[in-house]
Amino acid sequence: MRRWRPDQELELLLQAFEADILSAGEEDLSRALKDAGLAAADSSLGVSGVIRAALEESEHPNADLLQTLRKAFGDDGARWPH
Amino acid sequence: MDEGNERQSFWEAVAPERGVSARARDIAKAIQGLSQSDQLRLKALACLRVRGLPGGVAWSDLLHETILRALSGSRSWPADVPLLAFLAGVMRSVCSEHWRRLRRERQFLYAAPAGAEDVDPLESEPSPEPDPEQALAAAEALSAVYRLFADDAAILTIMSGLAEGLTAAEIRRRHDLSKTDYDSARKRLRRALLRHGLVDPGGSRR
Repeated sequence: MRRWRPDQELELLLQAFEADILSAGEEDLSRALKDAGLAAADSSLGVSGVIRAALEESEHPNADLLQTLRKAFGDDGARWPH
Repeated sequence: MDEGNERQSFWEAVAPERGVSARARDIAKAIQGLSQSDQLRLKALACLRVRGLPGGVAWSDLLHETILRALSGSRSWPADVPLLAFLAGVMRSVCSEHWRRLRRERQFLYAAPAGAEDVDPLESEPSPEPDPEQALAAAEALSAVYRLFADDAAILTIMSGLAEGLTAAEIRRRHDLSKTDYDSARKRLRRALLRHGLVDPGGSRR
């Protein structure tokens, strides 16, 4: 008897759903937003924020670390324990 | 060397900046240029995929990691593949890696069989079988998805066929569904997926 593999079943379903989402037309999107009580601008706002943050992190992966180091040890690194 | 250059080189030596490849710039430009509709599709994809992950991972975390991975150049973007389809593939790979990492961490923490001193769990190949946590998460996600459509028998029929890997024609033949009934149910399914995908599974509408 074949063993039930929920992970494989879920993966097949998710791939089919992905195709549905990728092929969804403007009418489907507007209808879905309306049904969810959302405006397109509200819903995409979170996405553009995530995109912006990821692009910034990709260009400056050490930006947070550098800022922390500058605060802790001074802009010129004078307080860095040599 | 003037003071400004000296200051920059000091901090660059501590935490060097990473160069951005031309290909990564192309991908970044394409991502920045996504239309509002494509951004919504991207969010729906992330909300969908995050359902199969253990609790605590937000759609925004998954999307963030996906974009970073796409920009890292570790996976090439074929010229004939649309950006969203490419990102969907990267997202899938991020999710698989999430499970592999969890499994390896658990092996490292808990599994130390006698005589296995020379085996490095971080280097060893994972088992092809899902671990119990992944199987449970998948079963819960499946159950949640089926519950969403509990009132729609046609959609449930279609989903069970899709989960078996059947094509549209095979599902229609097996369950004696007309093309119109199939297409109509599939449209309801697509809209419901988008509706649920545009609302964060965690409840917040980030």
